[in-house]
Amino acid sequence: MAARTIVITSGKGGVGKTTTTANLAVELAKIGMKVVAIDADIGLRNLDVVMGLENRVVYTLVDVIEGTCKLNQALVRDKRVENLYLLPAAQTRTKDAVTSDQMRDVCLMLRDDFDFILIDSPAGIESGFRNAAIPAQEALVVTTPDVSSVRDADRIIGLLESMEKQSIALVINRLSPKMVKRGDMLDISDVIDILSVNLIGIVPEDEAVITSTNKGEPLALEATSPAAKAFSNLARRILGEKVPFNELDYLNNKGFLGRIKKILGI
Amino acid sequence: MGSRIILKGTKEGVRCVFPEDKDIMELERMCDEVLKDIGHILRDGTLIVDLQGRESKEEEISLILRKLVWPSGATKTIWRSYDTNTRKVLRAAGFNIEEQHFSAQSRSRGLFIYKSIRSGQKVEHDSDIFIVGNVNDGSEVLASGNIWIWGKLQGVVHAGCQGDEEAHILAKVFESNQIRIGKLYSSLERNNSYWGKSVLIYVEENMLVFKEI
Repeated sequence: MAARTIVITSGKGGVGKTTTTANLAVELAKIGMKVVAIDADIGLRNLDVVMGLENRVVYTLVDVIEGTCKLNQALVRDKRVENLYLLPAAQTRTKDAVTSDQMRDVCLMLRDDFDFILIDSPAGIESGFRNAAIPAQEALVVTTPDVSSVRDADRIIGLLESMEKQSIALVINRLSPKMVKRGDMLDISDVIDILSVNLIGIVPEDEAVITSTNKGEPLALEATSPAAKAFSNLARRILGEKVPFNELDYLNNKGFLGRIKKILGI
Repeated sequence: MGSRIILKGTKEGVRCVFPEDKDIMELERMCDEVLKDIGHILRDGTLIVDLQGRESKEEEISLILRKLVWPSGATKTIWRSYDTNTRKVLRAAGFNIEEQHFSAQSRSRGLFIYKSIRSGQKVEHDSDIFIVGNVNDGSEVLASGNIWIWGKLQGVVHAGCQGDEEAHILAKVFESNQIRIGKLYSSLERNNSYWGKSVLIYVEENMLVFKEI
């Protein structure tokens, strides 16, 4: 059966696309799916670092497209998780090194061998984003709950809608319950009202994310921190399971939780 | 798949309404279908190409010319679009764009939009604009007449954009930082006293007046 191809994008930079791609890939592979994560951020690659695979990158996506190597030579197999692969980007080239047709062709080559193809999109709305989005049927839009990020997410959703993606779903990342409580962070129900797409994930602000990135060990490898649990829930929802939004239950504060859930409309 | 150009007979001619959300690659098939269905009606008549809010670049306009306009045998073609960039392309080419000139006596029909306007999108119309939906931060709505928004107003709206200071703006939930009517504009602090409320905005004695309703 052909793979589900999902682009993870945001418009804004630095909101957590790469972290989400890496952790979602690990979670799906843990569940038993065969997953390939493609880094489409040519020239500014990061997926290899976040996944802790940068020392094993020999060939890249650009090499495959230019015929320098075969596809399976460029795929880096993760030794920690069964059935998880990375197709890295080239760091020494730029985004005009590939066209959207070429990206499409690479994804077509991968479709029959994988259950999931996750494409980590670069920031922006230009050709880098287009090349990442065109081969995908589904999209995950990552945003943080602030005005700037939401505006950019709205722009990107408008573009994805005009590309007629089968599904566009939202992940709200770096949610800080303290800030929501103080009213310093955008009201989540406002975010959902503006963006008007299905909410599929909430990832709380978690210091563990930075540590894990520096170590090259995606959080999802050991599922104990709140963010790790959130990525696990995200993976299960993507597979169609109805998982309640319990990502903030770790706060163990029923009254506050009740209010948050009311704000979130869940 | 299977989407079509909607055909409407009007006294001006046959209006061909292009769906906004279909890719340029679908257009050729849709134009062929139109010619097959009503080619005989279009011949020697007037064709109105209604692009609605499609952002049609040169390639798309060229395709429509080659695949619909010229083969149809229509003796006159009028183009309609409320997307600003498309209108620029059409105007630059010297095309006959359907435009209703603003006048107190004969106002053209208002433009009804039943969806939210997303960041980066721009809507322009000669007359009134009615939106059932939100106008998101980063979007722009320009009307020569009035603008009514049954939803949240967060983007920039410009009523009376051709200079009419009789125009007004009505918003169900006002959360915008900048409002324009005619030649006047008002930039407001976020969380001003009208924030989140239903407001009517109009010009009185050369100043923008806000009224909570």
